Amino acid sequence: MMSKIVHHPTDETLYSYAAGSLPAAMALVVGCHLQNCQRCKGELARAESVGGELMASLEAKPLGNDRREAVLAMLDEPSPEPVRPVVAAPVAETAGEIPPMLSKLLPAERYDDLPWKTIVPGMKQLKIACDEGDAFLLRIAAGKKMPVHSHRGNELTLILRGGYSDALGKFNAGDFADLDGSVEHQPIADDDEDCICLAGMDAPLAFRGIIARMLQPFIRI
Amino acid sequence: MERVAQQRDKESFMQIFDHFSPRVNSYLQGQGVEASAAEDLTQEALLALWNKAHLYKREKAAVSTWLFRVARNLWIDKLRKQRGIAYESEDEISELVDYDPTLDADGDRLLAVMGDLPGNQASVVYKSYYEGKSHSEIAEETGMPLGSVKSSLRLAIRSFRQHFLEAE
Ligand SMILES: [Zn+2]
Ligand SMILES: [Zn+2]
Repeated sequence: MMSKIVHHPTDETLYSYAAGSLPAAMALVVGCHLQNCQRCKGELARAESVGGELMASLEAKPLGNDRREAVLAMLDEPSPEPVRPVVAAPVAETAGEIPPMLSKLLPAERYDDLPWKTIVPGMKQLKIACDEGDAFLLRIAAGKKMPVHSHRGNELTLILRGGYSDALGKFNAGDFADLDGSVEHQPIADDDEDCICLAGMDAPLAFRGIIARMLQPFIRI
Repeated sequence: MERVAQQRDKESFMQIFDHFSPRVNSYLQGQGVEASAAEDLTQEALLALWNKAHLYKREKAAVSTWLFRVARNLWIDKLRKQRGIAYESEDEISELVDYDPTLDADGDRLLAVMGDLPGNQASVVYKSYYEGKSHSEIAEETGMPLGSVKSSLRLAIRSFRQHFLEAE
């Protein structure tokens, strides 16, 4: 069973996603969370209707008359893309699978087949090419403690498989950690399976402690 | 008979076109899209609406929301090399939009809420929605600490939410 989602993006993260103003790396994490979260879909709809109303209230900048003619002429053309039948979402359990939005950016279809790079014992990483900001998958071995660290900018994390605990609570598959620079934490992965997360940020992490600091140039997370 | 229906359809669509295309265009230019590219994208968004005829017959609020989504996605896709990196595709959007009018903002009341926001909150909302600036870009540009950018946005959203609660 997919456990109930307890942790969601903050209001300002969701509204910025709606406004199209999150860097790609962060928007990707929010988009993947939304695919499974009804609560946030509702909030997003509101944020987008705010966007629609604000757009509707803008000072009008009419298109050229030729544009109007061109559009009118195009109304007779058949619709370019046939309407795709909507494929019902599989009823089967999707927790632990790669979300479709993420899947198309990855070179393999299963987490185990991805070209993970070990960054320190017990922690593997896979960078995801993003035009803005850094996005990556992180795989933390079961029971592993991450170094204590804070974040220089925002870090958005979606738990894809397994779970971890830190001072902020217990995070399971589907949960979303929306952290800013003021938070210092030390996630500990659950004992029973590896924890796989998708993280996106617009600034590099600031690790604390001497060993962590030495690691930082290599880890780059 | 079908021709007449078709003719009427076109007329009512062109009314929508005349009303919304200048606003979509204005939105895109505000995002920094160069004028002729903004017109291209506006045209594309409006034609997408025509191709989903069942959508433009809805209330104006629903149409503006739908157009906002599509214009935003078209622009972001153009901006980024990878298409559809973080948003649902148009087809999925058209299914999603099929719900609950309580999720639609009431334009006049919303603008009144906007007008009542303190200057810094209104400016963060403005930069976020109209200029597509990220939190850290807004912080850099205004000299506000990142935390204040977020809390300003959070307070503005709280006011919007109040508006939705009252509308229900
Ligand atoms: Zn959520
Ligand atoms: Zn962290």
